[in-house]
Amino acid sequence: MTNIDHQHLLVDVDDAVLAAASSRHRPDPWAVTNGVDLHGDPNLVGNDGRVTVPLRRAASATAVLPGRTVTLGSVLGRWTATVAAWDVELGPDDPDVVLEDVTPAR
Amino acid sequence: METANQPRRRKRRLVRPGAEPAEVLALLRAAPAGTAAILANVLEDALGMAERYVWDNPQGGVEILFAVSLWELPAPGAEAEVLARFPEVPAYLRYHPAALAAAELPVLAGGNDPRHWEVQLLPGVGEAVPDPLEDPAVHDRLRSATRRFVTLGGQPLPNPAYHGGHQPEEPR
Repeated sequence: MTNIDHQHLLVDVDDAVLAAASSRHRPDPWAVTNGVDLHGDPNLVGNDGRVTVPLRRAASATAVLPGRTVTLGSVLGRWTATVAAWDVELGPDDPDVVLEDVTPAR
Repeated sequence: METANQPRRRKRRLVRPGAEPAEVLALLRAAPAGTAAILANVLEDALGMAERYVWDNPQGGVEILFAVSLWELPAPGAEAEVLARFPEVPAYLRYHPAALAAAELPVLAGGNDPRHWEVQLLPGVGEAVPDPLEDPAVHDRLRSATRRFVTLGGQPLPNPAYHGGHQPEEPR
């Protein structure tokens, strides 16, 4: 896993943060219908080069915890990726899921 | 996050350096079926982007990115090659970069994919307190810009790669 040392990047999501996120989270309908963990694609990239998808685009918060291998999907296709961290830079109530090793799914 | 004195935090969009849309033959926008659905889809995508991203515009300013995705047509008649990416999408709109420029809709090379472009529907909205997304006038302007953009795309064309399956929620 990439070494991430920014304070707003949570490599370990503690129980309190996960509980708060899970209580707010509503499953993304497209992700649920299409059987993917995250609704998005590799074009969601900032100028730091990281692919990030809002947590609200997840089928469930628990399924996209750091360290998990996840399926990313949109009308563009399907990919597998590893969750590197949660990024709370934009606000703790609406974290981004930071992905790495994004590769087309077979 | 927005505090009393600081604007809401946004990420900076990755824009491929040196890429110019002038060389692109045409740009395709994957679209759902029906004008109302297209308008709703474009508006939703633009707002989703604006919630999270700003970009450094060529004039040296930083503005909120009310953008939607477009896909490059690499050669005449290559629509099928591009649209093969979108088997779940029934239609598409076709744009010429010059027409977008004439309509003062900037096109930027957003993201890593060299064939992926974005059009900024509402240029010139900077970060501010309160956040511009809380301003109904900004939403009115974005709705107008969305209608202008969709109209500029002309009649939606059928996607030959469409497999007839479920309706997508988010063409890009």
